[in-house]
Amino acid sequence: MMNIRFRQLLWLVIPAVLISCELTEQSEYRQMIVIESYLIAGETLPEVRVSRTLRVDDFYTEGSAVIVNAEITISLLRDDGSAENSFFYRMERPGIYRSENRNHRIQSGRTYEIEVTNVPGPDLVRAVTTVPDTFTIIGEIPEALVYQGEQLEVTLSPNENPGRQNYYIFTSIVEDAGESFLTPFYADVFENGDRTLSSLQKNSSGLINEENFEQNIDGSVNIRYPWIGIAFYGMNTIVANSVDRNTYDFIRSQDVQLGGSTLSPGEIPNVIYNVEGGIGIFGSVSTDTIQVFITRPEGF
Amino acid sequence: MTFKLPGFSSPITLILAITTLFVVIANRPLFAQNSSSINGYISDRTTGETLIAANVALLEINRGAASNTSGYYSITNLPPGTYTIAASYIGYRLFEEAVELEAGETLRLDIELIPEGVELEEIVVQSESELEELQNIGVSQVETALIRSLPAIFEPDVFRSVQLLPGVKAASDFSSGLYIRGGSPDQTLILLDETTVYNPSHFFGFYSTFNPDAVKDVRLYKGGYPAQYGGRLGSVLTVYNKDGNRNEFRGTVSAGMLASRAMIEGPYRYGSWMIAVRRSTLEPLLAALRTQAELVPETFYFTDINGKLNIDASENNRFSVAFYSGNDRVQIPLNQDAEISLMYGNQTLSTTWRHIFSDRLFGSATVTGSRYFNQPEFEFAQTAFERDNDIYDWSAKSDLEFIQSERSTWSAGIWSGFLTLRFRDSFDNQESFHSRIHTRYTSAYLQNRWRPHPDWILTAGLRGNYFSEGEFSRLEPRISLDYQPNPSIRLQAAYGRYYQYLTLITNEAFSGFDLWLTTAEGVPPSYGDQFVIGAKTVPFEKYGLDIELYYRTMQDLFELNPFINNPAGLDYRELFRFGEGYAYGLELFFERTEGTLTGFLGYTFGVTRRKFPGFNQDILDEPNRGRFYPPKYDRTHDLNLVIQYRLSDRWAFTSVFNYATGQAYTEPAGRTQMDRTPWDNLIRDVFIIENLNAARLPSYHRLDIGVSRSGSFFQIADGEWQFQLINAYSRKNIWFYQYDFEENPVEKNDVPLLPILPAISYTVTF
Repeated sequence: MMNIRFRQLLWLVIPAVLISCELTEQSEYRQMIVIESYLIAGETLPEVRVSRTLRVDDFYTEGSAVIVNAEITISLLRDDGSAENSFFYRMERPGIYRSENRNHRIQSGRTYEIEVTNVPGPDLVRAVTTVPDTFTIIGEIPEALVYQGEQLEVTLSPNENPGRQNYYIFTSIVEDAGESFLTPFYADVFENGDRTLSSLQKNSSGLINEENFEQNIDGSVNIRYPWIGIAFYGMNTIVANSVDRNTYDFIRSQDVQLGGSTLSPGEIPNVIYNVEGGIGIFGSVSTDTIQVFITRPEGF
Repeated sequence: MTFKLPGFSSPITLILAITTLFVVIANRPLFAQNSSSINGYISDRTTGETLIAANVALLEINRGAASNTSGYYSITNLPPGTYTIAASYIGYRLFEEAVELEAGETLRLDIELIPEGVELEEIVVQSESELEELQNIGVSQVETALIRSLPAIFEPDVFRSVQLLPGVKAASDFSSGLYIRGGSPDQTLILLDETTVYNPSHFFGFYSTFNPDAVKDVRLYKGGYPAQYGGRLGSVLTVYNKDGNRNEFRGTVSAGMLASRAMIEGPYRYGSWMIAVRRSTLEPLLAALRTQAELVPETFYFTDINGKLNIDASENNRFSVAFYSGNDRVQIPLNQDAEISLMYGNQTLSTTWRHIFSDRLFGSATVTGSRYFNQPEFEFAQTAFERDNDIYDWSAKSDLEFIQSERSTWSAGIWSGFLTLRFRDSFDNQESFHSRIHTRYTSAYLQNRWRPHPDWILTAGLRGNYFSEGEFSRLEPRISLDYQPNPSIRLQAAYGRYYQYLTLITNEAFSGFDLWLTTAEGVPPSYGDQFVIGAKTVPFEKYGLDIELYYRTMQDLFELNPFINNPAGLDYRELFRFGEGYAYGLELFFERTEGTLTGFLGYTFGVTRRKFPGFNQDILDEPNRGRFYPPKYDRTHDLNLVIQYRLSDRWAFTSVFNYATGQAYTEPAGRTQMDRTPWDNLIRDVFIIENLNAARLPSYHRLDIGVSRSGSFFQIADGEWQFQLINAYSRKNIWFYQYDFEENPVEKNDVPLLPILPAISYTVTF
């Protein structure tokens, strides 16, 4: 016979099970304004792209997401946060805006602010970026190297970004190179359909912390350019990009959305934006460039 | 709760001091000199294996005890007289014997229990003390015979059997990780013969490292665990390997589709020994696959070996040496000029001395060593990425159990060690990151089990911990109360505070890169409180029904920040995100333990949530504040039905059915694209998330069935065929969704879990 107390216990337990309802708030879509622009130290003011998000199951085209008639201002800020110079933008084509000022050169170490108004939804979309310190690639650069022979070794001059170490992205650019110029590894990548020829022609490294490299006493760093960075034989333009905090946050968090981190499969976090009132990236970089010719090894 | 424990610089001194104190007290005449006692080991008659948590009782006076982890029992302060002593253990015949105790006598009675065997003779539970230990709150035992007989994905597995218990969840068909009462796998302390195992997995998480042929006892302390254990927020899993047969030479050889294994054991002049080896046997399958597919591993195997040597030095002294060594290796040639390889594994070594000081005092001392390593290597276009990750853990521990009276039993112990975690990355043959953490740890506990009335047991304990990395000292109070109003029901409650000084960096899909990190200055230990109430009942004869409710908190959780892509140059504290969590739930366990039809039904209602700043945030309004979200492994309802039916002496049928709420996943709300990056030509697709893991996968359910046939192996040994079907009705369970941006609109594709899988194995026992 079932004990009386046992039955009483069941009466306590069963309601607890029955009231178990869905305990998590479901996702609801909200349209957001997206900005995208990158300041490059020493260059003129960049274009700004303004768009809106679409529902995940919507057909996405640039045309369907553009925001027209936005009012955009990029300002160079003083240390106290007030504007030293303000640059107004006009729409060049739907969703793409360009400054009328073609003279201002982006100043390294200075902070810029973008303000976007007259867009659906928020009153103001705002972001700031501090442009990384400039640097140069110093030392002797060989004219040519044999692929997977002696490696390209360069030194980056000291550059200081207060409160943080430097973050780099290296890019190898090859203009109009064909499939027959691909190095063996990338030939397979291309053949498998993992990358397009166009994306390989501007092949970048991903984020690398300065502390990964050998440091010199004067603050310069020595870099041995890895062969994984070379996708084509021939003349390669190597660009060293020192990126700002916004770019660093955006790239490292966007990578996580694609998986491969410690998160469980199917657990997708938001990207880190550093944009108020909307999403996107207002980033900045400083760069220097060298060129080196990569020759095929014997037998290739 | 912070304190400073004196003398930790010399833990050996502390061990000696505690031992001396107990020995002195134990030898003092606390009671009338005419009181008697009875003690000894409880073991299996056929093999001589000591039995953990077997129950022994004197029926006439309703006094009993349970054997400890060494198989030792003691009943003290007995009036002289003639008694019937009874001993029982699940799967064994009831032992009964008349004993006569004279005044002041200490009777040494080693009890040998006879296994139930194939006669299917039913055991009648007679003593009120029986199963007392098993009925402790939050404790579950998984019988090794059950592990071997359940339908398994190619190979019997200890952890996958543990996953069937209520309160324990599996992350996926591909993971043997234990997610217990809302905790992640690193919140469970896993001890093999008293030694911590840091990555108990083969095939990158698919199987656990424990060889079921070598294992004697598997015991899970799901929550509210006693002061004897510590170091993890959630639970403790203790695994003891076999001592080896003390009576005769025996062995088993088993050939399966995934792995084959062999175990031999036997007596020798001073005791017993056991060696068990196992190796995967995938090579023929891989060779066949290589002719049809790309990316088939060139090398892919695991091996492990377990061994134990027992020295029964005297009636009161036993020594044992146990070891485990296992490793996994995979090597996959990718494209031209690209290859990945990985080797990882564990090694453990423990030496234990068990000593009976007197009929009141039992002690053990253990020295342990544990190593975990992983060495992944990737090489693309002659650019190598290599990692070398090692953990070395050397420790010494001692436990004492002192029976003060029939009402009071004291336990005390100390565990101290050195832990070294070494981590080195190199890129393109240059070191890119290096870390070495060397820390001392010490913990000590004191616990009293007090029985003021036959119906009431109060167990109170205090555990102190010291961790030198960060200089943390913490106190952990533990208490549990047990009330038995009548023989068929036992009401229980427990509370405990728990601290954890380690965190595991892993991925549920792949455990081969597992990395442990510790607390440090600015990285305090995680802590949590656990509250458990429960009832153990016997509603009908041969049946048991257990109910437990739990609530637990998790504070100062420290986990690797998932957005850290490169640790170089970061302060140690910057590697982590710090958060909190909670879990609560209800567990039901209904079992039938005797007869031709046995099995259990386990049900769990569980909720667990986590919160980390800047994670699952409202990106427009509060981008830096986190909101609670369910981790993927959160399942609201989880039901397991395990049935074993013995059709005849030769044929047996087993089945496992599991139903569970679909796991949490993130359903993206919106999307956008970024395509103006100056350093490449890539179009970056970005998801907009409103609520993390707010959606649920379809419900999970799966039926596994198995049939075994026992017979003779050429008249020289016993043989058994096992035929099994995993996912018998081919349910298409989903692991997660993958989003394909190549399609417009984005296409959501199922990534399925295991399809229907047949398995066959043959085992010879001699």
